[in-house]
Order: sequence, then C-alpha cells, then structure tokens
Amino acid sequence: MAKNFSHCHGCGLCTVVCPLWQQTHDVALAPHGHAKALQFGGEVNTSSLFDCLLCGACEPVCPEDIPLMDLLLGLRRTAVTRGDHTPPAQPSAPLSAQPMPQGDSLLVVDDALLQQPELSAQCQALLNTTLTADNGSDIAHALHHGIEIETDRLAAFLNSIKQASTLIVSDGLLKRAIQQWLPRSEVLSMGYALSRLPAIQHKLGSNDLYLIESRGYHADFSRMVSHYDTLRQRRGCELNLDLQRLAVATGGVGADEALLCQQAAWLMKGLNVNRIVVESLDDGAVMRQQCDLPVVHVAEL
Amino acid sequence: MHIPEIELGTLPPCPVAPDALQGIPRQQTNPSRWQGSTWDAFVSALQDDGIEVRQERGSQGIYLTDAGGMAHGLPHGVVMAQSAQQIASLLRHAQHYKVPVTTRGGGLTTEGESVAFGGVLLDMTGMSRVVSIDSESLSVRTEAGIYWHRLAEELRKEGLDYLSAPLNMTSSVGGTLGVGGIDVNSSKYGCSADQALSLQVVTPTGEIVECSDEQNPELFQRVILGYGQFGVITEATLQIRPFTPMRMHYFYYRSLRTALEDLQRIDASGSCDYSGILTMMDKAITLLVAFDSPEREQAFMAQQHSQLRGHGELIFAARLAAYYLLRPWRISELLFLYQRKKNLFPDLQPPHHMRDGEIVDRTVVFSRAVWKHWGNKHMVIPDLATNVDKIIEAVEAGNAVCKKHFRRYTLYCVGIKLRPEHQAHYELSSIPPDAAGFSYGCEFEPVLEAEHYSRDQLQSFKNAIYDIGVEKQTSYYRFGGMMKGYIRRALGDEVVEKHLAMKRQADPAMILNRDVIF
Repeated sequence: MAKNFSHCHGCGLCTVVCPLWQQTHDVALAPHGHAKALQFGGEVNTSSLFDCLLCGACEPVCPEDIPLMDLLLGLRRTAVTRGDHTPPAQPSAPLSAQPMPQGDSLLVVDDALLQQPELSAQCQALLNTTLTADNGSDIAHALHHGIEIETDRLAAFLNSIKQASTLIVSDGLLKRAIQQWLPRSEVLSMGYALSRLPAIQHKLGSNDLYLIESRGYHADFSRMVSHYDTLRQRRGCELNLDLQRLAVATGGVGADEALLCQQAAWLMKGLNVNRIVVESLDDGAVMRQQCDLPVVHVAEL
Repeated sequence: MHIPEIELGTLPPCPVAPDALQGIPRQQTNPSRWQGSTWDAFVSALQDDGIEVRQERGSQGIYLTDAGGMAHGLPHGVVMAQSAQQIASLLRHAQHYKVPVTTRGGGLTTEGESVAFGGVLLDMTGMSRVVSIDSESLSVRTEAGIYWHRLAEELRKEGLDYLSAPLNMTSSVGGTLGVGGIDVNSSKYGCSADQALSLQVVTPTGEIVECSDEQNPELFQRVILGYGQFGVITEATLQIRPFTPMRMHYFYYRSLRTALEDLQRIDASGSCDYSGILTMMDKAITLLVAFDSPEREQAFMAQQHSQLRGHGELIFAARLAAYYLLRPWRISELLFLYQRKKNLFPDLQPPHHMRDGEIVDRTVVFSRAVWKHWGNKHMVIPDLATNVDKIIEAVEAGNAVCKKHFRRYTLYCVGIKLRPEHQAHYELSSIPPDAAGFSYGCEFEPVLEAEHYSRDQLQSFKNAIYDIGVEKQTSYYRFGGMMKGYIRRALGDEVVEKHLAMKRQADPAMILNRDVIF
C-alpha cells in the first residue's frame, strides 16, 4: 500500500529543505504542516498549496519514503475540484500525433523552449533526437495547476511517445509523471541528458554556477546526485546544491516572484562566479532579474 | 498524607513535591490542562497589540506531540515568534492573565516538554534568521528559533561552521542552549550550550535583556541549560570556527568496558577532534575517532593507535564469526548485525558527501542516519550522564536494562569536556555536580523497526534507565531536560529550592514552560 500523510512521524526534515518554509519560516506551509493538519482532522491552507514551488526537495529527504509530491499534487487537484482554487485557463491539446517508431529517442520540450526555435533546435541537435509533435503542454499545465487529466487525452499522449527507447523531457514535473506512467521507458530530464555530453562538460569551469532543474533532479535523486557530484568534481563548477545535495529551486510555474528572487539571492550569497548556466528557462529568467551576470542555457555553451 | 485541594489546571503550592516519587509507579502522565478561564480576554489583549493568535484546528495538529510521541496535548492557540518585542508583549499579557506559555523549536523533546497542555504555544521557528556573521572574531549572531542545519547552511557560505550541535538537523539553537546538546566533538568543545557567548532573552515578565558572562551574568547562568524556565532566548551569539571536513576511523570491540576505557583515554589525551562509541547491542561496539586535519590524524596514528585495543573490520568480523559458530542458536542475532552494518555504514559515508576520503557535511550525514535508522514515531533515547569514574558501571547497568526490554538496541556514548569557567551554567543541568574535567553521556536507544511496543513499555524502559541515574547518584541528560518527577532526586533539595525560589521571583504567575521541571 502506498504511504500517505498519515505515515508522517513529524521529523520535520521536509521543512528545513522547503523553499516556502525557508522564506516564510512558517511550518504550516511545509509538507510537515500539511501532514499534521490532515492527521488532526484539519484543513490544509489552500493558498500555501499553490505557493509551493513543486521543486520536490521534500521527497528524497523523507525517511518514511512518503511520496510527498504525489500527495501535494493530489491536494491541489482536490482543492480545484472542490472549487477552493481556480486554475488558469488550460491551453488546448496539440494536434494529435502519430506514434513514433520503436527505438528512437524522443525529446519532449515545454512551451517556453518551443517559443525559442533556435534553442530547441540546438537541444535537439546536441542530443541527436527527434522532437515530439505532441509536447503534452496541456498535460503539464494540468499537472501543475491541479486539473484532472482526461483519460483519453493522456492515453493519446502516451501512445505517441511510448515506443521511444529514451524519452528526454525538459519539464521536470512532466518528466516525473511520465516516469510513473511509463515505468519501462528510460525517461531523462533534458538538463541531465545535455550535461552528460562531453562537449558540454568541457565548456564548464570553476567560474560557472550551474543551475540544475530541481524537479527532474529530485524525481530521480539517487542517480542525479551521483552524476552532478561527478560533474562538479571534474569541472570545478559551482552547483545550486545545498548541504543535503538538494537543488535550490529558483523557478516554478505560477510561483510567487518575490519568493523566487529571495531564493536566487540566497543562492548567490557568497559565490564568486562569472557566469550562470541554466537547464531551465524559468531559472534563467529569475537569475537575470537577480544579477548582472551572463545567463546561458546549457545547450548554448 | 494530606493532599491539599487545588484548582484544576493550576499549579499546587509546591510544583515539585518532595515525595513525588515515593510509592508511585513512575509512568509519565500528562500534566493537567490549563482550563482557559482568561483565554478570551488574553487573546483580545494580544490582538490589540497586533499579535496574531492561530486558533483554527488545522494549525494545532503540528504541535500535538513531540519527538518522544508519548505526551499529547493541545494549546488554546499558537503564536509564531516574530520578534523579541512581540514575545515581550505576549509574556506581559500572559503574566497578567496567568496564561501558560510553552515554547517550542524543533519539538525534539521526548517527555512532552515542548507540548502545550492548554494556553499559548510559542513557535520559535518563526525567528530563524541569521543576523550577522563575524568571520574575524569567529562569532555568529542568530535568531534562536533557527535549526542548526539552517545555521550550518548559512555559515558554510562563509567557509565556517558551528562548534557543536546535536546530531539532528531539526533541533533549534534556542532549545539546545536551554538543555545542553552533545555532538561527536563534545570531548573537545564541550556541550553545545558552551558555545554561547551572549544571549538576548525575554524574561517571563516581558523585559528584553542582553546577557553574557559579563553583562547580567546571573540571568545568563540561569537561562543557559535552564530548561526554558527563566526566559525565552530570542537571539544568540555563538562562537564558530572555520569549516573543516572530517577524517574518520573505526575500531571494533567485543567488550563495552574495554571500548569505554579506550574512549576515556583518548579523550584525556586530547589527541583526536571527534570521538564516540556506537554499538549494535553489546555485540559489536564501534569506537569512532575523527580528525580535522591530516596532521592531527597522523599524530594520533603514530602515538595512540597502537594503544587501542579495538580491531580493524576484518579481524573483528573473524572473531565475531567464531563467537557465533560456537552459538549457532543465536544465528538470527548475527544476521541482524550483518544486515545492520550493511545498511547503516554506507549511510555514514555516502559518496556524494565524501571528498578524498573525508566526510564533508557531517551534520547532514549523521542526522540523516539518525532519522533513517533510529527514527520512529517514538524517539526513545533515555540517557545517563556521569562523571568519569561512574560511566562504565552506568553503561553496563543501562545495557542490562536494554537487554531486558528489547531484542535490538544501540548505545551511543560520548565524552563532554567541562569548561571550569562555565561551572555556574551547569548548576541546574544534567551535568553531574561531581564531574570534573569530563562528563560522559550515554544514550540507550532501542531499534524499534517494525516491532510494536506499547507506550507503557517504552516509558517503563525510559524510567528504568533514569532510575539507574538516581540509584548511582548521578544524572541523566535528555532532549528537553530533566523529567519533573526526578528533579529532586537528581539535583537534591538545596539546588531545587534555590532555583524554585528564583523561578517564583522571575516568573510570578509561573507561566513559562510550566511542568517541564517546575
């Protein structure tokens, strides 16, 4: 049986890594607070649910292995279903796509990246992969905002990608969900896939701050932590990892801008770097606001 | 015996009855709940001062119990700490309306000391900012609700570290300074409270006072290791040090006594920077020693290593195998030891927290291991604290109690260097008054895993450990302080009466952290 909030013993480890707690110091807003409120027959603060960055840092630190991200997303869906929260309008589904032939590697890029055709083409070329016709942007939107996903629509999306040998996904939350929906497929975050390339690694140096996309990283923590630790040792670059080797999130769909800027300011404190390299365009936008340093996407190196 | 009638939810004339233990089976029971007769007027006064009081049901569940999971209670309302001024106002009104105030940081007490039985729960984690770091004088000024882990994060950005802190990421600075705190480097730096240089304290009557050994020293001495009785610590200036990774070695023993003797000898020599004993029952006893620099490590290996009677892993494994070969009926114990080692030791040196054979981020490594391998809905960790001479017999007695109550357990033992200049700080603490030079602490921790034990059994075990402290005329250290029912026996009437009189003077309505010891 999958664990749920009732299994929380209240150790509070999820609190210390929660960006929302780090900026507000209010335990009621962290997963620990949600768990205890529910155990006690109370209600979870709806606005805090939607202020959550969904960075996923709480999940790998939970000693009880409670699937906190699934539970948080479930709470969002409940809040929307009950009418406690109104999500932004959902984009329409992309035109239906044909299933890709078996054996190909596929790249699923988010709308923000699609709007930069040169950059998405560069990602595609570096990874030697094919862009999907259906990027599942409506599904990613639904995941983020707590909207129920229609079964037929999800089936169509998965059908269009399930034959691929490797799926490379730029949206960390969508990547996490695809990992669960297609457990037999190899699903990689785009940042991870790019940062594995020797050509990319050689362009990183000790004057760089490399920002790992937090959602994809935490969804596959045990593998990711080893990869990025090796990257840091080889190239000497700074990473957005805290003492627990969790990624400090600076981007998030619908997240409070002030909160993101505070996160970015804390991250930059004490660092002496000349350039910021990002895996996610969200992180890039926040870092450009926060400092004067050049910010480049990892595919632009 | 005449028992005077008292109003429900109030304190009796003597809150620490001299014969509280006689003839009473010492099961912990929740203190009586404050009945809330003045609550509405109190809340109204707070709101007039702009202080938010959370009274909705969802916000209270977080505070229902503590890490011990034995005591359960609810406040009437919760106030998130924001500033010393806010807390001063809160305490002034609490004195006036006689409303109990329970302070809480990480909630890592084990006997309900941070659980509110009515009244206000003051959540100090609202004050979690680092005020300033002075890398030249090596000190940090921080709000006291901050978790040690968060403080470590902030200090590391400057290449600095705290001196010592409990091996738990969610302990708060203020809570720790109130009870002591031990670390694997306490044999070098003393207890965690010893690193406090000065404090900002809000007294129970609402004055904001800066104190240190030079400025208002009496208040400083009472608040440090004072179980939250004499004021709320709102800010602390702590001594810090340059960050260093840690070079760790393990030596394995079959005898608790031999390992403890070796621990004491290396502590007395001052030749290592970290030391402690961690066991799997009394079958596999690990002496861990660690160093801040290769020079210290080399000097230890040259001068001390040959005198240690512990073995390396291979020789110890061979001896253990021989022991169980002659006792095949205990094979399940051997399998447990093997499985435990297989699971635990990689978590004490995870590759991503290692650099060139050194542990970086020991705070994270040890804390995660503690929660992963010992964490449970009940944190059952009764301790004993003794002087140098009594530790071996106390640990052996505690070990016998563990064996009687549980199939699997762990002992964790460290030395605590005593600071003669801090003697006045220790008076109400669990540091035994007859200790000089070093004190030793040992935690007795059942490995509960999937086995279910009733609260009564767990509490009986804890009380049996505390009884050893009483019988051996020594002390015990616990997260959260000292259990009220034991305080007269542990500290003696003279010390208790002295501090009770001071408490009455400082806190006329006896509202602050009542029932923790007074």
